[in-house]
Amino acid sequence: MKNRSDDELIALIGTGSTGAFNELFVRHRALVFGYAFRILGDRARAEDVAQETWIRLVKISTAWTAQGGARSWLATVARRLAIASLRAERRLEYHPADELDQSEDTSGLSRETFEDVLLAQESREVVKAAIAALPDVGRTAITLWLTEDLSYSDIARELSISESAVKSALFRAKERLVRELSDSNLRQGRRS
Amino acid sequence: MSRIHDEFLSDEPSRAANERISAAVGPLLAANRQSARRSLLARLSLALGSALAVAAGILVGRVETPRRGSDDRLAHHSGDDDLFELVLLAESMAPAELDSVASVSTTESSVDIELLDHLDWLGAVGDDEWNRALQSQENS
Repeated sequence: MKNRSDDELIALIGTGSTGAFNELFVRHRALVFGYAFRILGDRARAEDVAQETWIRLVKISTAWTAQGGARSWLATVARRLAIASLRAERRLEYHPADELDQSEDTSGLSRETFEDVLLAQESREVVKAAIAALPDVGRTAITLWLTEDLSYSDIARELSISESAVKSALFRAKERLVRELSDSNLRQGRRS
Repeated sequence: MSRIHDEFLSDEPSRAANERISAAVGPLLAANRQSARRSLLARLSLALGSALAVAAGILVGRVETPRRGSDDRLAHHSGDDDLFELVLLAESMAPAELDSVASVSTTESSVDIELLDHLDWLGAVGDDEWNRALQSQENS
């Protein structure tokens, strides 16, 4: 099973192979759960989303046609289910008063620069915790922005909020992350 | 996805969550298994025509046949050229192909599969043996 491609495993899942499912699950469970967890900020709810994602994969396996796109498919389904979960609880509401005056994200950090800031952090868990502590909209927006290469308008469409709200949420989220991670780096520097 | 994806996105779910997911998909996989079996039988029955009607009858359990050495056959088919290979192979073949070939070769194992032999074997195995074959394939 380990030598089979994702597409081959899904074809086997379509014939009911538990072994194929287990192999695919081991390969991608951290992605599916992790993505849902980053968006939802809640383990129990992320586990529910992960379960629903895998159920959908098994259901669609008999009609699977994607070539080499299993990972992307799983990530997309997990993302959409997680966002739907947030929306159902009205946690993605964004009020005009929260928006900044700027029409652009003026944090001055490009995606690449911001990634460098995160990657420079020695502890991945510190970064994950800092992202988890962001408000719902900011956490979700920055997760999509960082991981999916989505434009502001794409993110706005996904979250059903305005583009300016996305820019504002990203600005605040990046600012807060950079501040917290810089503080963390300083603390690490003092300890070493 | 960007380079940061795996660095900060991945997180292992808890063992309890893994077990819950396995339990949730179990019945769906069982349904897929039944559906695949029915589909294969229907396709084989249709494709092979009257000359193999007896074999098709065996497959759907309407014709009684002596169970000749099914355990040995299960052992023989527990490698690459196992039940799922046959299912996938048969389902990927056009009816005309199925009708015209008496033996085919799997791409992975290059082991000839005598189709009629398989039909006989498939028809002869009961649910327990079928499940054992699945288990054998999953463990391989």
